[in-house]
Amino acid sequence: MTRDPDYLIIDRILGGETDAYAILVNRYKRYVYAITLKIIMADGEAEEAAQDAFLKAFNALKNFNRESKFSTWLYRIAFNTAVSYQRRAKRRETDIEGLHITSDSGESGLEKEDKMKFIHKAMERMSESDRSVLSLFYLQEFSLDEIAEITQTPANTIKVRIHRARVRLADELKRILKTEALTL
Amino acid sequence: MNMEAEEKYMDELLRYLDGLMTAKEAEAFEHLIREDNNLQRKYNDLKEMEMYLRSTKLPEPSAAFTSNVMQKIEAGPLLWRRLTKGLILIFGVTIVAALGAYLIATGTLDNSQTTITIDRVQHLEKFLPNATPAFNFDGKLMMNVVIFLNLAVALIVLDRTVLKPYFQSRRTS
Repeated sequence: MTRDPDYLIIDRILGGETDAYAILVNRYKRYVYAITLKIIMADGEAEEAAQDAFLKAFNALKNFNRESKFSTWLYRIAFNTAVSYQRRAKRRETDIEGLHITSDSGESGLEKEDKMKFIHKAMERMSESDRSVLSLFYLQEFSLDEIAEITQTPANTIKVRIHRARVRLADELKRILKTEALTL
Repeated sequence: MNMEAEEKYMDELLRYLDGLMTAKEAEAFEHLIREDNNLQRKYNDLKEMEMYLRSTKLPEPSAAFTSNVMQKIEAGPLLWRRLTKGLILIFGVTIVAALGAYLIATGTLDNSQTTITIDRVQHLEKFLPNATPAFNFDGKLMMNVVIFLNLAVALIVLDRTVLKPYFQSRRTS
């Protein structure tokens, strides 16, 4: 059994102190939201999916077997929730304006925004599964083993998928930049 | 550069960027990058893309995120639990009030009037020098008070456990 500081809070919640769940929500909301946003790629729906994931986790808390970290279990719920939202919506067109294009690199202004826009455009052209694993990989919060657990895919498959997805993303970006250069 | 060579270089570039090469391998690859303009361009593009993707900050959900989740939890199974408890309580106090009303209606309490005289308590004069007044006890009046209190409790419970959560959930949905 893994020792996880969240287990103490879970015990309080299961003991009837429902309000303690707010501690877990505050602790993980940014990561859960990041997962749903990267998959759904639309602010409002991503937030709804993230809230839904927390709700599902709360209702299933009694069944959480504590074999993994609470966060990993929660992220898996968030991932599955986001994927099912995405499938339901069958979203093919995404709103570039609605994305969080934030970076803490040294550059600023239009150039940086343009580059991020092209990278996001390239990301959008990736398949749903490639985009999901790449998003989790670049969030840097998750190890490859954790990504494997969240997506319920063998670790070796995830490694290969991430590698191939990175190559495809670079190719896609090159194509976009070439097209952009031609239209200028 | 043919497709195969390009794929190989791409793999090598990713290995280099991920720091998976040995020092010797990295040194040799750096030399290759310096020598080959095409590879150098690829390296710069890939490095820039990786840098942007890795520097992406975690997005912030709305300020009301936690309170919204907690509200939804309250409106879910917890609401049903509270609702059930409230309904049981309302049922209980209504039964007591109905029982009281039945007793009054059937006239069971019509003759339950008596006078309570404290003076009859032995040795009381030691503590109370003046004569104490006598109290009239009216069972019917008492039952009316019980019915009234029960109905008041029933209304409060109805408001807090049924009506208020119902209208709140309607407003949030």
